[in-house]
Amino acid sequence: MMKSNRDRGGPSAAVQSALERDALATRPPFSATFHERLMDRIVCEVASGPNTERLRRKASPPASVRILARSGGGVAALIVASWAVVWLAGRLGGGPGTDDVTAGSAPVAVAVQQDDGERLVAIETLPLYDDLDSGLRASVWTLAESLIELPDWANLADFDAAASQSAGSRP
Amino acid sequence: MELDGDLDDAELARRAASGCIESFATLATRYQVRIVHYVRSRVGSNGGEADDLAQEALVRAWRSIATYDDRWAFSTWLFTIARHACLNHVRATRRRRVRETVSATEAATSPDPCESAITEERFGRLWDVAATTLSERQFTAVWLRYVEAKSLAEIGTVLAMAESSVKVSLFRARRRLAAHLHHLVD
Repeated sequence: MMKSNRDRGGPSAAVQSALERDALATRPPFSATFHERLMDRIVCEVASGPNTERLRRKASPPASVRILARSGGGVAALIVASWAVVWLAGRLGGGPGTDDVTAGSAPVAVAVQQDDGERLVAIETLPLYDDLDSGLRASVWTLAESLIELPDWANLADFDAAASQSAGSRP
Repeated sequence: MELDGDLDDAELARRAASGCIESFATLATRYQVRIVHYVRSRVGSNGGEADDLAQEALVRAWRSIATYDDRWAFSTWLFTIARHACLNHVRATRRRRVRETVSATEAATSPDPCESAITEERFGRLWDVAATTLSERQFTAVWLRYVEAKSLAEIGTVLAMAESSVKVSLFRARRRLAAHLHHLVD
């Protein structure tokens, strides 16, 4: 490991040594069955058929996903979540208060050509947030939170981006 | 025949990506203790929750092994996954707790977490203080530096930060911990 380039000194050399000492002293016992359980899970995954997640990740994410991730995750996720909830509600007959929102305004995905030549997928006829009833708003927020909460593809996209960026700055 | 234990991480990862479970098992054996140790430091070691989370991180690594880029250390990639698993877990736990209890009054009168960390016996060590007083990024930076001896570049990869930002983060973390050190050193 790279111990040689450690930045000694500074405000708290004592902190460094204490951290190192305590890290070793407090390492808890490791469960003997941990590895066995882990490999059992993996064998089960393999046995249960082709891993769709592995296949999905071998391909690059859809362009619309990459664009959304680049252009402000929170807002984009909220818009997509709103659209998804409204669309689903419309498809399933809708809950109380959703009929007016979805009636006659089926969401339509359109492609917009941007200055840089990239096509941005947008959604037309998205109902205004204020038009949603409170129950639907809560659903929208719940769904939006779950989308913002670092889904797997976002984790890996972050990692890949950071890795590419760092690799690019290497000599 | 070459044994898996003799192969480097990159080769094992390549074999695992092509479906070789034994190669992944070797990788898991190499890093599982370190991952468990890190996850326990983030979420606590009670009730086996941390071990389950560490398992989840390793299973995720298996699922996405095809995306591993061997320009970077396998452990760096693994810690990135483990960190995100911890973040998701902490956020989910926080939301659940907010839903379940915590009135505004209780929140207002609860003690300063820094104070709790120092006064409670179970928070007698500097890492426990670190877990409660540092931000998640600062803690992970300090952990990777002093437990895993990662380079600044590798820490930057895990945290998606520039090296200069990692240095600043480490400096601030150490300064913050230094303020508590006199409570702990005896």
